[in-house]
Amino acid sequence: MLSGICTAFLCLTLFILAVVVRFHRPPVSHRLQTMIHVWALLLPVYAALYFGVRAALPTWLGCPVPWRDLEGLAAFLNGALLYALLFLAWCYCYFCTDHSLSVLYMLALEDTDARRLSLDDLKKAFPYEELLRQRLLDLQNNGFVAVTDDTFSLTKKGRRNARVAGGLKRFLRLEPGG
Amino acid sequence: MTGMLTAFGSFAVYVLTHWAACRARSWPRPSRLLNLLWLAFVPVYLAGFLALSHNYPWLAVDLRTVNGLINLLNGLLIEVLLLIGYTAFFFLLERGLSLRVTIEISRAPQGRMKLAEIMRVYSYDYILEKRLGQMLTMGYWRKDGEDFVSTVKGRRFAAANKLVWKLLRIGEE
Repeated sequence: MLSGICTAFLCLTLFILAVVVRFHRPPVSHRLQTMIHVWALLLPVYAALYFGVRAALPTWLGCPVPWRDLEGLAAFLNGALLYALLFLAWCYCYFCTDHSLSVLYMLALEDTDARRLSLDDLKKAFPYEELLRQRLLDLQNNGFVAVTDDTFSLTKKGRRNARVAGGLKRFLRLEPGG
Repeated sequence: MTGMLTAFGSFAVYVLTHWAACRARSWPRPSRLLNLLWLAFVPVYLAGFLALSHNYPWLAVDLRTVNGLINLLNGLLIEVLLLIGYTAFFFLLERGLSLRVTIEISRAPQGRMKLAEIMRVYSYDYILEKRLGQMLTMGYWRKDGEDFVSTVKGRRFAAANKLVWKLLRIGEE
């Protein structure tokens, strides 16, 4: 089991290095898609590394090869599952940094000379119209929203997304949220 | 395998418990509920692990061995990662700006809205109040008269984020 766990963390390290290198070679059109591609490309590396790590570990810590019995297969898949979950956790951290308004405000405050901001300063630094336009552009580029004569409507994908998310928000009593 | 199965079982119960708590009443600070349940589910995981190990011979684990302990900690790691994934999903639902915009458009008459209409139903004051309130509660900022000032914790958090922005070239394209 330890071989799968170690391999998953090794692959996560390789993934982060690959993402850093890729993001330093612009243009990067769609960041999430790029990260998914890098993650998927490293799946065969996981399989190869798994056997390397397994061979390097002492026999009493190792486990059977995946095709020998259920225990061996479970250990191999457990590592792959960990690699997938670590990727999800990475995405969460990444989007907290990239998309969070709170982080944006915090960075803006640190960049001021006096290191202080009033509510009006914040509103001036990040005008709502501009902020909303940028989000709507993102939604348009990702196929959720269509624009006709300055009026926004949802695409089929956007409607499905809004229906599912809206239903869940209502169910969990999170409305209006946002 | 015992740890993995326990993690999935325990996570399923966690989600159902969280949904039941959300349905029972409205929580002004949803993150507090999530954190409380996180802590409560560590003993649930441990109890589930011991129960499976004790009752099913093919899942029996000897916790006196290194492999047994690895099995237990592996399941705990899976559980924590599943909870992080669920937290991400939950906050996307609860806090997502883009999601709120799409929901507002979907509920508008004829499913169409102009920018000014979106700005009216989803006001900037509401957005700021939530974010700034959270930063004050979490101790990243404090109020000094009419101004917001960062605390030591806030400065550290901002510095860490700045480093990630630089490392991943966020906001540079």
